[in-house]
Amino acid sequence: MTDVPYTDPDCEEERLAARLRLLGTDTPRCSTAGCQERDPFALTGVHPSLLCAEHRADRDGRRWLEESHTAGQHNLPNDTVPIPANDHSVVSDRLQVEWPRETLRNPDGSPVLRAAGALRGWLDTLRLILERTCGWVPTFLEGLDAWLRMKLGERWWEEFDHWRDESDQ
Amino acid sequence: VTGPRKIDVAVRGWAAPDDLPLPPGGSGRRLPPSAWSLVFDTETGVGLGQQLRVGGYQVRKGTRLREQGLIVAACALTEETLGTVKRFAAEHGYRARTRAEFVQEVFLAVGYRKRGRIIGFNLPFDISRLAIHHDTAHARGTNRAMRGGFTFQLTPSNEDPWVQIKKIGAAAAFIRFAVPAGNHPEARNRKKGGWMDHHRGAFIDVATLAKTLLGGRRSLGRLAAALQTTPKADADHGQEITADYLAYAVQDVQVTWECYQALTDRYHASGFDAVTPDSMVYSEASIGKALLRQAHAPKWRRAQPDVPGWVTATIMEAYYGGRTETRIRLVPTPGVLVDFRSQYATSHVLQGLWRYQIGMGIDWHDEDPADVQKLLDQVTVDDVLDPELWRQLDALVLVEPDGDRLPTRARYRHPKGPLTVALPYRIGGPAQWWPIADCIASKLQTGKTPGVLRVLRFTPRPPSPDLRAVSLAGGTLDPAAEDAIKRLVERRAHLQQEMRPAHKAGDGTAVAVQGLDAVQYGQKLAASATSSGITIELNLVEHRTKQPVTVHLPTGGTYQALVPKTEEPGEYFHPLIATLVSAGGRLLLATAIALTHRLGGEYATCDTDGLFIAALPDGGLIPCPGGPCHTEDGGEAIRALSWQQIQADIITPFQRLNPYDETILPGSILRLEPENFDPDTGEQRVVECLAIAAKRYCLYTRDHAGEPVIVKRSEHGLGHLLPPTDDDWQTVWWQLIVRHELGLSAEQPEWFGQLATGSVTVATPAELRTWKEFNTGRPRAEQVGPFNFVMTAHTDRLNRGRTNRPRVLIAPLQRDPDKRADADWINKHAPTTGLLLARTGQPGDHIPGTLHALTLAAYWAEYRSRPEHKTLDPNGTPCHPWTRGLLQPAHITATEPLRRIGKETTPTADANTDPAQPTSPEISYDPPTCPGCSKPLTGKQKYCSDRCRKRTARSSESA
Repeated sequence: MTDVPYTDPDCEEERLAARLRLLGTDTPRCSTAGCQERDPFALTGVHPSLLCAEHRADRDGRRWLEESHTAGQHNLPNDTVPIPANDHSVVSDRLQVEWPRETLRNPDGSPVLRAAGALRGWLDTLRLILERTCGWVPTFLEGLDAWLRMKLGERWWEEFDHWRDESDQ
Repeated sequence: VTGPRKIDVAVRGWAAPDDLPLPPGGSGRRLPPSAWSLVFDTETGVGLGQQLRVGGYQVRKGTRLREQGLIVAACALTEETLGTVKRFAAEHGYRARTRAEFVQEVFLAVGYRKRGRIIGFNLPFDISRLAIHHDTAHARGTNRAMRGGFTFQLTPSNEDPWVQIKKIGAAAAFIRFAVPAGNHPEARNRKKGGWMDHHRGAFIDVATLAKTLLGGRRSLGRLAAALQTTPKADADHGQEITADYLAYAVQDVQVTWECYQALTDRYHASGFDAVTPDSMVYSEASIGKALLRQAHAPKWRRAQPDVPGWVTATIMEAYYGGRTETRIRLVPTPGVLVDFRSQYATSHVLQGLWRYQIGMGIDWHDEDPADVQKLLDQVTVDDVLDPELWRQLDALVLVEPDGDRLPTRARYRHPKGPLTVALPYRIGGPAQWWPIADCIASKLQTGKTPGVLRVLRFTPRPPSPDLRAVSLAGGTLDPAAEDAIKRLVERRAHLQQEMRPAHKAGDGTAVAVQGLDAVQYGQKLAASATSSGITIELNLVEHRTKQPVTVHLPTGGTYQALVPKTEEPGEYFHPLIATLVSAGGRLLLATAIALTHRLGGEYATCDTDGLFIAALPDGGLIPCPGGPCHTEDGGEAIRALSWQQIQADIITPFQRLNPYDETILPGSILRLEPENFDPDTGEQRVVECLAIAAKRYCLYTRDHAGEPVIVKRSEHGLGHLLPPTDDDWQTVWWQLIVRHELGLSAEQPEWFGQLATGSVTVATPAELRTWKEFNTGRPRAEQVGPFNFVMTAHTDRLNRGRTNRPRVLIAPLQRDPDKRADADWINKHAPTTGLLLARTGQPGDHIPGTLHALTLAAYWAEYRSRPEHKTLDPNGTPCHPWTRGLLQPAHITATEPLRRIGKETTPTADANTDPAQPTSPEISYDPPTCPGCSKPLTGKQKYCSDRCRKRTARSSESA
């Protein structure tokens, strides 16, 4: 076991900054009415006419689902799963580009690198599911806590009957 | 009085480069900085090359420290020192990065790729230490902001951006990333139809931010003390690199960060950060522009691009700065110091110039000169105190001078001396444009009406429909419905009132009070910059070769001139506002002087908005050569007004001109300054003034033993000297002058024997070229490069007066005053002749290998004897070093034609700069003349004829 992370957070930051510079805004959002897509890697075009991959597909008469090579196209060319176009864009443009080039391309077909690709693919998928389903929750809870402290005072939870810390009992 | 002196008179010219760009219309878009910040500081060697040795840095996201480390210039360190650095880094958990690693993985990663802020103290110096190559910055297209600056290459790769730096003032510089090669995100954005501007980075020089938000220049140590952050550690630059020295370098970075945070808190409180980010704050003008941008105020040149050149030329011809002069020279004069509240802002409000600021342009028409002549015939000082008159001052008048006292810019000292503005009697000479306010001021002073030939009256066009309410801390401001300058002054006064109880209770450091203080100071800056500074902003652009410009004349004519520097108007350039505001300021001062003279009194000195009136508690006489009164023993004297007279007959009348809300700013706009009051008892006290020349004066009181105690002193003419001691040496300097003039015993301080040394920074490519001779043949590490500091000393008058003798000595900057004389001095213009010993003994001695240099004692003697060149002595002869008493205005006749010049630039310590007489190398818009016969040339002609060219060549060969 080592403490080396499987992704490089610094590169991720730089890629995000470059993506925002390309889109032309720090607060990107799909311009289609009612669409909540804000992930810069799921968006295309330039501000203020940004479109998410799904609405772009819709506009171009394509399906919203796309076949994703979870383990990388060069590792398992025939092994695909259909995922929504927005998620596919994020997987391809944000997550897979962070893979080591050798793992992503696997030019000589190393089975170990293929296994590494499969594992990275699953880690990316799990990360994506977690981030896109409940990635917003911690920030929301932190904001809610600050708001409750402002409205109800510090240690507001002492007045809250539905919550008792075990140490209080 | 002798007859009028014929003299060349200069006026400000309007010379637009042929491809003058319009101010930006706001089409480009830039993203604000991200949450990342890099704070760094470099430590260098002490040689003239000031090569990078080590440095410290911090990378933060928000306020959270993400990485801390050291920058190591391995090539400048020994193996042993390198070991020390590595051990220190390992012990403290710091990253030790080479210069190249730091640039690529930290500087460019944070500042360029992650769009973070790059923060430092005196950032141009630190960035230039990281460079592997430098060049003159070039500008593409219409964006010429960086022309005349440097560009620095940080990595060998073309795909990494270079950094451009252009110094725009003593403590401010434009810094930005150049556009790198390759397909960067902004280029791709534009290809896809976006409007992203190039990413230029967010560079924040804490020294610049501090000067803008706090006023005055401070070292990092003094700034830390003022902001009550972690104190800065002390260490000698260039000392051996030890663990202690590295700890000092690391602490410097932390102190810089804390100062930055304290300053941004203040800036945030002012409310201007929403429009102008902290990385775009260069001076108080930035705050003024932020206000106008927030209000969507129109940019005059964009709103009205078709103004004929002759109109702008007429306005520029009438532009002058504040009035500064000495009236009573070297005579200790008791009196009262008064000054106008926010003089330029008040002048702006009284004339209702906000209408011009929000208008979609200006209109002009010729008015009947007889109407203005009649107004001038009838005007009295009481009329000037009527606010109605001030609404009629938006006119310029063509005057045929005939004994009128009007602002005149000329070289009063000698034909090659600096240009200064004075109010001499103008007798004959060419007709010239002045603001009507100056004509009224002349009438008040001479009693004679100037002869009016033509009047150009201006009116503002309707306000811009795009104006928007401005959100400021503490409320909103509607630019369409109210005078923003008036509101800012009132709100500032209101905030000051709120702070007063806390200050009285000694609670001035409380957070809430500091917050209010930040807001009121921000509003002061906005009011002063908006009312004058930014409307006359002309940025100098240096060129490698002389550039052709079209010089416009008020008569409608034009001619071509070749100039090495051009002036480019700022974003909110509106010279009519600046011309009228400053003329209004001069009229306020002239009115106070006229009221003083009406009472039979005199003034000792005046400086833009302040006036020192000769006075005694109960009035009386003050002995003064040239004065119109006589003492009992028959000596010449001036009449001193009583304090009560000043209050009742000079200060109170200005109550009528108070344009502000009486509940917030009651009373007169002319006020007694705090120096008039005893700080302990709060009672008015006797203050005396000793004036040498314009801007060179001091005020003092007497203690119980009759000894003078300085209460206010000017720093003019001293700022370029390196401090000879840690104490308040300028007060000692003035104390000696006063004691000397009072005939009291005065012991010279020990540091008077030191060399008079100054410090210069190589701030422009043109200045760097003056070091070419010095740099030739030296390794890069020893060359004087961009933003290097150099210590200078000047040889004595005997040497300076001779040709081929050293004039300017240079040496590595030495902070320790005692070691300056022993520094390795070199003759700047003959660097290969070896080291010199700068001697401070007897100038007449000839000691081989040594050179007698100007000491502080010699400089002091030159300083206190500087004549007021622009005036005459009491007998009507030119003012001399020994002149004492009541000075008289000079009588001059301007030679024809009037010379047209550009902005007077900040003096730089160039080769010929004499510390006692800094020059102001202004741009001359003279028409080109033939070198052979001085005939005017046309087009691209170099000589008027081939015959003249040959004759000139023959004469130069024979010479």
